[in-house]
Amino acid sequence: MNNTILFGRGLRRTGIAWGAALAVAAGLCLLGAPRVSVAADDPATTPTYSKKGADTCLNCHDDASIAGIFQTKHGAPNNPDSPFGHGQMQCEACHGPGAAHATGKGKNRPAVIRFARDSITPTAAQNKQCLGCHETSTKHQWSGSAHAVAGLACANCHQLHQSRDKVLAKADQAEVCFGCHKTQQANSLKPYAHPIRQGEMACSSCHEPHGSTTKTALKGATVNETCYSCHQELRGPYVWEHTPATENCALCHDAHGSIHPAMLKQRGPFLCQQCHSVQGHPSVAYGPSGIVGGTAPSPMVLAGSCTNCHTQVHGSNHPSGRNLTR
Amino acid sequence: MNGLKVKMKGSRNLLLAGAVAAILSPVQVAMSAEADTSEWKCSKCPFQVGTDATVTVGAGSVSDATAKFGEYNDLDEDGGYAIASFDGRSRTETGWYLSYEGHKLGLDTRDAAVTVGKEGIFSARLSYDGIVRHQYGDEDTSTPFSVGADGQSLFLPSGWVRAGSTTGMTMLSASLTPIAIETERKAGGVDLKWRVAKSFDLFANFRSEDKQGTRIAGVGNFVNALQIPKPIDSTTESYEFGVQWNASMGFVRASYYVSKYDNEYNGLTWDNPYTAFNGMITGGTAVAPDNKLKQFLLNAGVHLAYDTSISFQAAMGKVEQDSPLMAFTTNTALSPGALPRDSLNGDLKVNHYGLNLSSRPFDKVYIRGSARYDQRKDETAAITFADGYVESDQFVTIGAYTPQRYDYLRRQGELEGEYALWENVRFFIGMRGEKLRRTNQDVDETTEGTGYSGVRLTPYAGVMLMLRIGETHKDAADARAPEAWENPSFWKYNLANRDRDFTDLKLNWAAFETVTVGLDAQVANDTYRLSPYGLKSGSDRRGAGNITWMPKEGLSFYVDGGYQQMKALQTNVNTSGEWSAEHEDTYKTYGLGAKLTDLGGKWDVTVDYSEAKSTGDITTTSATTSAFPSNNSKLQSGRVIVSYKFSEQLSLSVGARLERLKSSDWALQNLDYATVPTLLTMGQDPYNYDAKVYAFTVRYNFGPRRATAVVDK
Repeated sequence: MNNTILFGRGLRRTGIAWGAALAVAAGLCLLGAPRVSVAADDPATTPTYSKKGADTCLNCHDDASIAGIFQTKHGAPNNPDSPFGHGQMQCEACHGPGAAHATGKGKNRPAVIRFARDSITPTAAQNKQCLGCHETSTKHQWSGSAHAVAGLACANCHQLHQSRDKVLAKADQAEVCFGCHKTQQANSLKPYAHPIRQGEMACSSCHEPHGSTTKTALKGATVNETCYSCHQELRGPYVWEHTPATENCALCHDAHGSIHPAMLKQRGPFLCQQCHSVQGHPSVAYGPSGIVGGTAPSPMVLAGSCTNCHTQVHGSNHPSGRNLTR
Repeated sequence: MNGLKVKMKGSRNLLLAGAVAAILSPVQVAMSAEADTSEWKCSKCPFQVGTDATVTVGAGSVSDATAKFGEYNDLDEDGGYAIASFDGRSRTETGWYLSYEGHKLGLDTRDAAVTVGKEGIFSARLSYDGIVRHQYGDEDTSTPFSVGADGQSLFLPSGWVRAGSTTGMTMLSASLTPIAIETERKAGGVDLKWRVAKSFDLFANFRSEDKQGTRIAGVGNFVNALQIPKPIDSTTESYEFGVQWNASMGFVRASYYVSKYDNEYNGLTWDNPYTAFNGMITGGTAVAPDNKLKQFLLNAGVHLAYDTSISFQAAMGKVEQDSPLMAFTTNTALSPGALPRDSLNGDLKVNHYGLNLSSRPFDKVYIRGSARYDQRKDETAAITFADGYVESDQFVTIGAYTPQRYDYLRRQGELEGEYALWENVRFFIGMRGEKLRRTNQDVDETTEGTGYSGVRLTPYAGVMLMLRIGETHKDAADARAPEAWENPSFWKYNLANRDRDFTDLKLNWAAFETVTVGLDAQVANDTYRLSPYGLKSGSDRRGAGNITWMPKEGLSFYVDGGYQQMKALQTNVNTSGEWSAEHEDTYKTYGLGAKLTDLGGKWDVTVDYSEAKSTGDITTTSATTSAFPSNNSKLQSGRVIVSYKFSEQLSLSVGARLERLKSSDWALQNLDYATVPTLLTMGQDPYNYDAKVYAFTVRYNFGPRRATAVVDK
């Protein structure tokens, strides 16, 4: 076995073709794309800051929806890292130099950087303002994250001038996420689901919306470690392990909700029979004759199905628990 | 020739060094003119000083006692309940602050937190979070068992008549006692953060969670099964402390994390309600063992020229488990021998490393890549049970059993490139690979390769469309030889060779100034190409969308809907011949609503309705084809909330919520305690409820928040 090859047999079938296409595309890009400009701006056209900072801005922007920021960390005057901390750039720390905006008239008034879904300020320019402080002051891995690649602006989710940012509140966060993640919103209404719609769990209980090194931006290092942060009792190790449970909880469960009990992907006994087929009852064809009203109601089919006896589906710590019944 | 090779190698090194130097070189970015902030007094800034707090009190009423309706909102009992919540913040001119909040204080599912600190220096947060999960109420489930004083013994009533089947248990009806199936979590936490120097923070977190309640568990005696109320009582304590350093180019965060799970019980014994075979008058079942996770966590990121970011995560640690083992059996009529040791002494090594890279080397080019390494290595010393193993507390089996230990080593890599053909048209293409090695399983290794491409379009402001198509191939290698009793043609689905094609579509469209449209759809098809038996194929088609209309400020309407269909086909064979099962699950939702805010500066109104319907069909084919009855569910939920603001300080809300769930489930339908001779149940039925909740609240704001928000001109 060649352990040095990461992309092995599975990729060989068509992956090589995709890889070649990626290489060709990358080559064309590298040959054809102009270099990014990194030259300093002309000082004559460089925007300038207002004369009095926030006092200039608040002459016009005095409504309560703006002033809400002074109830938040961004409006804390004693925090040297806050935009309103001593020596900081106040409103213009985020909105950029505003002298021309403050003195301009009518249609000729140049816009400052504006943070909103419908802003004319490009997303990259908006995010650059936020990331200037937040990309290194937290453990975020925004660059390259799914949300960054999708072109989301920070203001798509965060409301900075509100005294209470909805997306930071456990009870309201899902409402913000569901704005884009509509299939997850639909799943939250399934008969068996985590308490998202009740507001007792947030999407960020499991996911790191600012990016992580896992495929689906999980908070934990793996699917299982994410699940174990609440379901610690399943961490094991057990005397008798159940291999899919040790490998990946998502092999059997759908964490976003299911129409089957325990958020299982399918019903017993059929879910279990997708792995268990040995001679005896695992390979028996169970049918509707096994339900109440059928010709032979069966404990293999009814109530917990296989788990009526094999109750330790996550592993057993009983010395006589080889069949996960003890 | 050798000289040429050396030259080429030298050139490559030179190019590499040049590229690295270019990335690491200081970035020249567009700079604004320096600001003179000496006149920036911020005299008009309404900084909060003093106290600003809001208290909400009220009362509510629930029409019906239904555990499923109250599953997570704790409204499982009919009758009245109190509503109380608060939030507030006090701040001094010198930067000291105190913030506090509490929600749903009239219920057991509630939370509260207090934070004290000095801005930019330190913060300390004390929190409490309680949640009750109601699965079945005591009107839904009953049992003949009672729980012993030790919490880990279940007894049948004196005079219980054992029988070979449930129909012969003549004491059953008279012995049934209602019992609620519910668990309650109560968690308290302390979070501390201290800035010891510029860009240098220390932090420490502690959390203790207590979980108590009852769950339904199935147990058996080889030929008969029964459901028992399994007591739950455990505590988990976790803490993390560490340090974070920030700089203009990046950050490093290092911490040590411990999570310790402590089960109050070491096992569960239960009286056997069936005829005692081989002297089995009691049975024993293990419970979740105590465990302890210890991890060192390292997280770092660096930001370089050309929008290049590199981040790294590492989590290195181990899990230990040394719960005392139960005896081989509780059956005193058997003499199975001694255990080889007192506990498993489980020892797992769990290491995870991840690396992310993203860069924009050219205006139009964006690349990102990642690599992961996940290891679970079971270093538990082998334990062998020799001539003592007892099957179902009834049969001592001859021979030695050594439980297998399982290791996993998963390595993943991904690379994606994006090219902006025009400003509003971006093409992307990517590939992903995963190699997963396992020990002691049917196959030692699976390798999965994925390729995908797509386009992101923003044809004009307000429209974003993403379309992605791709395919995945998974191959299994190094299969072990099947045992004599195993079907050599059967593949476990997570170890099988699989082809998958997939398509994703996402649309966000501001159709008009007042209308937005969103759509999210995914299609995936699986084929298990080399599985004569096992899971053969599967498909998943799902989509959801919404339309929002905001005709004017403060007024919005929405309508949304979703559809999902999942299919799967599995096959198998036994002595009676081949058989198959086809699964088809469909799920539909729709909702509509309206929100009116600040009408006349006084009124807020919210109205919404949502409906979700599911159907689960299974058709089996062996000698003949037969279909299970459909499992259906239909949830209807409507809500109206009206608020009136008497003043900036005082407002009143009244609300009503009506929710109905109807469901059928052939696994529980008409299944009574003793319907099946070999299965003693707890009598639960499929979930059905019709609940109405009415509530009114009064909200009062203390403090000057709104007054100070008005600024002098």
